[in-house]
Amino acid sequence: MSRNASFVRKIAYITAIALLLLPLAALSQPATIDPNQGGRGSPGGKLSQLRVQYNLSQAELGEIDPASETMKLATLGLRGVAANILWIYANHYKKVEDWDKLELTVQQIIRLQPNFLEVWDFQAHNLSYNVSVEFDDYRMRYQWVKKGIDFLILGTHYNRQEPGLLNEIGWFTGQKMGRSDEQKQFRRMFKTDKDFHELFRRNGVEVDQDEALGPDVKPDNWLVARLWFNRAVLAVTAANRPIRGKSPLLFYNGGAMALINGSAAAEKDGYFGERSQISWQRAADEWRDYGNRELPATEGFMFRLNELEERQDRIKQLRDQIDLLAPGIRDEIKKERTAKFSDAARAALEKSPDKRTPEEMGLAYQAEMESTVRDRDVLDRAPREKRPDIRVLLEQVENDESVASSIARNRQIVNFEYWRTRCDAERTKLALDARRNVYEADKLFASGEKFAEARQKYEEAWVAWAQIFKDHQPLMDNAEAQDLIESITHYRDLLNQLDERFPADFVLNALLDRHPEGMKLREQLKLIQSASGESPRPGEPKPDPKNPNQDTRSKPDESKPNESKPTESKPSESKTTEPKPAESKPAAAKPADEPKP
Amino acid sequence: MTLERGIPNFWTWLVGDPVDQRLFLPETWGFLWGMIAVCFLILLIVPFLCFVVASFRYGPSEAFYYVYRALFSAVTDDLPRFSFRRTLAIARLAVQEAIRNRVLIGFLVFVVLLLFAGLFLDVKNSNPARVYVSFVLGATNYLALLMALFLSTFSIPNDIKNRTIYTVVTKPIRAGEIVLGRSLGFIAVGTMMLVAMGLVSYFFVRRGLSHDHVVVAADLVEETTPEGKVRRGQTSFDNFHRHTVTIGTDGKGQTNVVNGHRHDVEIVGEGAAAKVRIGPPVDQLVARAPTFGKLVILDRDGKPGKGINVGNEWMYRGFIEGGPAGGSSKAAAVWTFEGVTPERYPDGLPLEMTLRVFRSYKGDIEQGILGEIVIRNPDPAAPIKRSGPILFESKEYTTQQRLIPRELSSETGAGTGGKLDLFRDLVSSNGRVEVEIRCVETAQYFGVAQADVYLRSHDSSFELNFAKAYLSIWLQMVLVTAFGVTFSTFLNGSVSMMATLSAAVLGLFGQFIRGVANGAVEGGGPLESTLRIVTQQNVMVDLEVNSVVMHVLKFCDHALMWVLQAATYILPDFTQFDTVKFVADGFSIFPDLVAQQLVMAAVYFLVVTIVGYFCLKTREIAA
Repeated sequence: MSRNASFVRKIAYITAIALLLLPLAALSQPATIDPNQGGRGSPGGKLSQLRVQYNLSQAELGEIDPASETMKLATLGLRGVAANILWIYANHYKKVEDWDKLELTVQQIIRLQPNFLEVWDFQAHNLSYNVSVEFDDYRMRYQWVKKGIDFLILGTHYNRQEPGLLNEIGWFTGQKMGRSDEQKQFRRMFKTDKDFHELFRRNGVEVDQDEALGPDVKPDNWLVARLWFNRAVLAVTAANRPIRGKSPLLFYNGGAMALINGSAAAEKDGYFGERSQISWQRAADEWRDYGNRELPATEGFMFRLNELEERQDRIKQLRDQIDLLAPGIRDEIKKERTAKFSDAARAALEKSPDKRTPEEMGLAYQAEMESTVRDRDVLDRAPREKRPDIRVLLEQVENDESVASSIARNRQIVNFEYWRTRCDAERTKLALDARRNVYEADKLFASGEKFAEARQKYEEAWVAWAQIFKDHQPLMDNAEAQDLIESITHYRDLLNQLDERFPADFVLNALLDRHPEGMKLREQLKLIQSASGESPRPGEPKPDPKNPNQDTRSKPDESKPNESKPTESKPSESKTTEPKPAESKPAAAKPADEPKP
Repeated sequence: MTLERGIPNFWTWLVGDPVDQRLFLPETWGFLWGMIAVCFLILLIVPFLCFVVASFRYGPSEAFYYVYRALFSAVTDDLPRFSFRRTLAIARLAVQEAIRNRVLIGFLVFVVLLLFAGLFLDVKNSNPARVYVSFVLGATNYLALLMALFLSTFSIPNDIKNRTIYTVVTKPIRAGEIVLGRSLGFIAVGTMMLVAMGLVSYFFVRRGLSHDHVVVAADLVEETTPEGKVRRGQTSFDNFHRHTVTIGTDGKGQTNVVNGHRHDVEIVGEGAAAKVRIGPPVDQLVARAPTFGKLVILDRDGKPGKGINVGNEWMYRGFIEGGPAGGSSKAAAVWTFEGVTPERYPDGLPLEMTLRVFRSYKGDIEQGILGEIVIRNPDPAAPIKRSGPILFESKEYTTQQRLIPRELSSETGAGTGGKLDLFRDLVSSNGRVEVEIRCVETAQYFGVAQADVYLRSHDSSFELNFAKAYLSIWLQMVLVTAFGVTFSTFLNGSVSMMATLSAAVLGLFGQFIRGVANGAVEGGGPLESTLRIVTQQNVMVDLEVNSVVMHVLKFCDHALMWVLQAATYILPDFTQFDTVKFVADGFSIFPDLVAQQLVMAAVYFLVVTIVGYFCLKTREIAA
């Protein structure tokens, strides 16, 4: 009897377990991929569907990594602790320069925490940036940069349509390969790295398509990076995934910047043909599209980078309307305020800004602030019957000002105007020719041959660049313009080789004065010129046209009698310069005026 | 391979280095004196504890008699009548018991682990041989220790619990024979398992690393190099890598080194029928038997020092500043090698270097930093002091091989026709020679450590090296078994398992525990660190607790750490048995290290077994 009861109880338990398994199986049934149904099979149970919906983890059978799942199960809920311990090991291996073990440990960490996105970001950066630079051989560095990218690509398998990871792949492929010290070698290796291309191809980025090919018809790292940036954008726009760890402002400019950088890099490689022009055109179009993209401001509203000018125009129109409703009030307030300025403040305002002392600068700033007439001040003084209309206009002005200020701030963050201007400038024939001339002249100079031809090319280029800077003022102020300074240094060296002096009124002096490297060059030139005591320094009085033989160097000596002693003690130096009056003439070395000497 | 702690020679390890010995630093005593101290302590403490325990039960005089009788009978009765036959019978029983307890499951787990290893192993790693070897040796080590732990700790307690021990103790058998017999039986089972695991893992490694490539002869491109015309091409992409092939005019050549190995290549056939034959991986599973020298780093004034720290947190390497010979920097690294004879090195000195490079400016990154090797005679009375410089281009993280020929150029024109003979002119009469390495580029640096430069006179067999690594694992297993059996003579199964595990953990983390005890490791002792974890206070901030609590905490931690630290000196240092890195890095395990391991394991096994014997005997007394 008791044996029967025990048997029945066991059967009941087993049945209950089996019955409970049914809803469990239904809930947790994994999704399947059916190739006969266009790669799509059963959506799986409720849990699987929720995983897909929230992109929590691998929901389809084929995507589940058995090693990762086993490790997660084997740690019995302590995978966080295990990952932490492995992280400590990873740091230790990095410290003791055991790169193989570091790589292994990182692989184990991501198997434990495959959906912890910061792990992918951090460790990929570790491999590509921190570990790669530990190697002296650039080929090894390249391998480690690739390992970081490979690691990120693996991350996209575990975290599908993750914009942050896709964006990072683009960033590493573009910036790390194209901006590091070894950019020349990295870019060269990337172009012919068929195994790496194959990896990209397997992961949905076709590197052989026209959009990814540089002017040499080989995959270009910047253009391939753009494809990854585009995939990241698509993950946000089409798959509706949130942007993680980057502001939308920076997230969306990756593709356009990759095109710009790709175009610039192609020119550095010596490609200036039609393809280069098209490349800059595409960059300009993409930058314009970026400017038209609606972006969120921190203040809560949406804006477009391209709408700043429109907003500013509208503000101006609205102000005019306010002034029409309250004629002369703005000027009246300004006059009243200006009248209250102290003599010192007035004197400071009258002085040119670059000649003000720090104290005067403070005074002038304060005075300018005090004399600024706000629209609300106009409203307060306006006739009572006009105030409702002015108030409406005022609200519109304030709203537009808020948006415009936000756009201007965001524009500064991405250097919007510079890149827009550069795209416009670089696609012109003038710029392409100027770049080609500089490139060819640099090459000729480096080869040590045809110095005269190199000089001619340089001088043609400087004239063209002066024109480009005149037409596109923002280009000159940007740090990118410093690239040209290196070539100007070569030009100086070339002139030295030809035993000629660097022209004092060089057409790109304004550019040199704007950048530290340029200023250094100018200082060196000044020192050389003052040491040889010949041509006039910029800013010093030019030779009197009525008396071309007058030695302009005598003027400083006259104005500074104390400094005249050394020149007196070295009569031989001044004598040697006297027989060469022509050399002291700045006009003799004016490439701007005489591009073809 | 890095050797942070160095490997002392056997005699220094055994009796200590008289120069460094300190009374209050047990790690400087040498193994022999340490063991004598431990045995002396055991001889004093264990009988006293037994006396105290027995006193509660029988009174002091009776207790003294029991303790005295136990000690006396051990020498007069048990030792002379010890029977190997009975011990082997017990061992046989232990083997049968282990097999009955399905110990083979451990082997099955190992096989399953290997079957699925492909999923866990990072086969794309740049040194797959290291990954494979580390994996199999690591897995074997942990499994063997776990198996020994479970086997040894539950056997005697279960016998006592089930009273099956009476069927043994009622026979004319002694406690010592039971303890030793059990240990030997379990060791025999473990040995069989280890042999099986060793064979399986060897074939797993060989098979896992074996691969082939294909090169199409027609795809080879002819190039002209300074050495003459060669044909170059690339292999197919297999096992996540490909090689560049260079073939000379004689149709023979080799690939470049990728993933730690290369292949020999040969063209067979002519014209359109020509095919490229690629050999198996070379230099993948090797066991270099290096001769290490003694390193002296000279600073820029030529004085001995530690070298410059270029900002690395890891102080293993010292850096030497570069500069042209005769310039302002006299910095150099000088290794002194001994036993250099023409018989041992008939072709010259087979030098291998793994130098680090630090650039203080970018320079030409297409080229490595230049260095020079000078061979020096250490004999101050020698007529010729040094050879002319041999220039080399540095390569980081790869082993650079350089054969220093017997005929060397002279710096001063001395020697025969300006040429020097290595052994006649530069090796001292007692077989010593100095190798000086300098960086010749100004403001660039070479990083050096003692193990970075060595003479690779010959290679040992990889199979033998693999077996030596298994011997290390076997010795660890022997120790764990001995500890397990001993603890199980007076503790129940679970507690003895925990005790054995603790002994192994203390042995494995002795360095760390000593670091915590002397404050080198941040975060305080066990209580303080627990409090920090609970209250989420990181190790770098001062602990925010009441001062009384703080004092109590510190006091308890000090007491605990003192006990733990003392335990680390008494228990065997299991890190001494870690030879995985030798095999994985392709170095033959040093004979001195093997000897140290053998002695250490034998002594500990003997001492622990004797303690086990007394414990079992004491347990009988208590019963």
